[in-house]
Amino acid sequence: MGVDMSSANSPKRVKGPEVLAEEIVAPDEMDLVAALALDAIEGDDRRAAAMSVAPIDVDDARRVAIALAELTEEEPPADLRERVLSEARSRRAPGTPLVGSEPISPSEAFLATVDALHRLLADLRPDEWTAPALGQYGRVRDLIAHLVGVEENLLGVLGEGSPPDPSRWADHVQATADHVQACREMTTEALLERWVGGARRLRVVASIGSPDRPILVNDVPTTVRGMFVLRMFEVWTHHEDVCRATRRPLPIIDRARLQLMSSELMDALPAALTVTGTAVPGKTMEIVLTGTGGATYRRPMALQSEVGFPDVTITADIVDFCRVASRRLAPGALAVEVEGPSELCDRVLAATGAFARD
Amino acid sequence: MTTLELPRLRPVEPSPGSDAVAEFGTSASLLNRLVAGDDGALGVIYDQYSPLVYGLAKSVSGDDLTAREVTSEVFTYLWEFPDRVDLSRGSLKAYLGMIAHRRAVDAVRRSERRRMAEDRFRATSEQSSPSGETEALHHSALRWRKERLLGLVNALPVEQRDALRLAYFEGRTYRQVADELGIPEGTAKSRLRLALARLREQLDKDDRWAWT
Repeated sequence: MGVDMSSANSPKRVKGPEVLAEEIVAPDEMDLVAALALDAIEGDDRRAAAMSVAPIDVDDARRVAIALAELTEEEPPADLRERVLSEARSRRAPGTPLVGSEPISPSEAFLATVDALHRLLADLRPDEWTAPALGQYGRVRDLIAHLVGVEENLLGVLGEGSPPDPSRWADHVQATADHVQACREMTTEALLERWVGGARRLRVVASIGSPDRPILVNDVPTTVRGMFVLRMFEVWTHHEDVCRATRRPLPIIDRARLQLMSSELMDALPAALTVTGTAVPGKTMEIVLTGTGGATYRRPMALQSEVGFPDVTITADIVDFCRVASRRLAPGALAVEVEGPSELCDRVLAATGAFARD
Repeated sequence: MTTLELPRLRPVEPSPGSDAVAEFGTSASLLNRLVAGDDGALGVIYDQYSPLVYGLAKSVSGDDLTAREVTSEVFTYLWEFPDRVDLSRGSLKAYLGMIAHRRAVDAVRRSERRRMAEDRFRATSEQSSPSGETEALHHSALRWRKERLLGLVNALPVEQRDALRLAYFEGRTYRQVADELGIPEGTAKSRLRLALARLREQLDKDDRWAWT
């Protein structure tokens, strides 16, 4: 994506996705982008700046910095090679596959997921913006208008801007109906600016204070930490929705975010079984998630129940399991291997999408 | 006009894949091998990018010992966490350069060896390296590219070039840049932005894909 920072002080121009990032970033922010790309900002200033600018702008500016780095290339001392490789081998023995990854915080994961969708949207052609998307929203642009509403409603809940209409807040779709309507005539550039700006602002505002403080996300009581996970889940799901609507390849989500998303989902399964009335107190489920970020989880099949020896073991692909949770894949369509009573498996899969809202 | 004092050109083997798409495929393949525990892939990556990592760290720190430590940290980190590289955000080279620069400036700031770094940097810049230049002639394309880059940097307005030199090649924060140049902090940030923008414009004119 092309970003000509030299014109950041000039009036906004509209000439398609190529210059979109420029249009949605104010000059002061482009100064921060340059300082971040050059590592000319540190400590709390760096963290604050990173939260207030779009990562894709920093990535873009950093490409120039890396070109400059070539000017300093120098062959390292010959003895350094073996020292470096030995040090690396001591940290992870050769032949040992990577099993874990550096954890990612929910707020970072949310921002990374927003960034990924931002990249896709910035690349859409005009006809793709109007492609039919989810039925309840209409077009791709209406789906993004829905996301505008989600961010702005949550900002309102956190005390910034207008609080959401209490009579509609519990309904995830209806709560953003006014936003979808209000954004109908907006240019796609302005729409994207509003969504990304809102999402970035949400990350900043919600990160102030304890991540364990309670917050009500529609009808789901959770914490700020949980809110970021729910939002990451939703943005990833809608990213896939846009890809399907525009016939583009589905995004590849990295290991760290998959681990976070799936582990949180596993922790929520006992509650999901309970709220859907399918809980089986005293029983234990074992879920084996395969693929990048996969792991094995044992959880009770009801809230306030103990984990014991597994009564049922369900093996499935990690991404597809997440799609069942977001109701983009029907439980019956999930390829699974089951050890134990299939009826228990059916209960688990039926409850997995309990917290999906659209 | 004051010219930017940078290390003299040094010979570096050109990367085998100049085509961005091929490079992406090669990098993705190498990263997959790292994930699987293939230390041979780490050797390949080291051979290809250690001049960038070591040279950048040495430029910023002005110190061979720090440059060695940073080089070791960068490649060890890559070996431990290859899944942190997101090729959709930039090339493997850009990722390694970013990590190297950040760790080098952190090391310099942490140890407060700035004065020593300045002295060594200046000494390095004034040294001639005829053997390096002679060898560089065998890599004319790369040499041209470096000369072109240096030309672009030296063509920047002097106030932008000074800000860029202090911030990127010497690891100063924008506050320190402002202090050293006797300008407001906002002006320092703006000069950095304008310098990057101008370089980007010129690099885009050369070849949009050659430098990505």
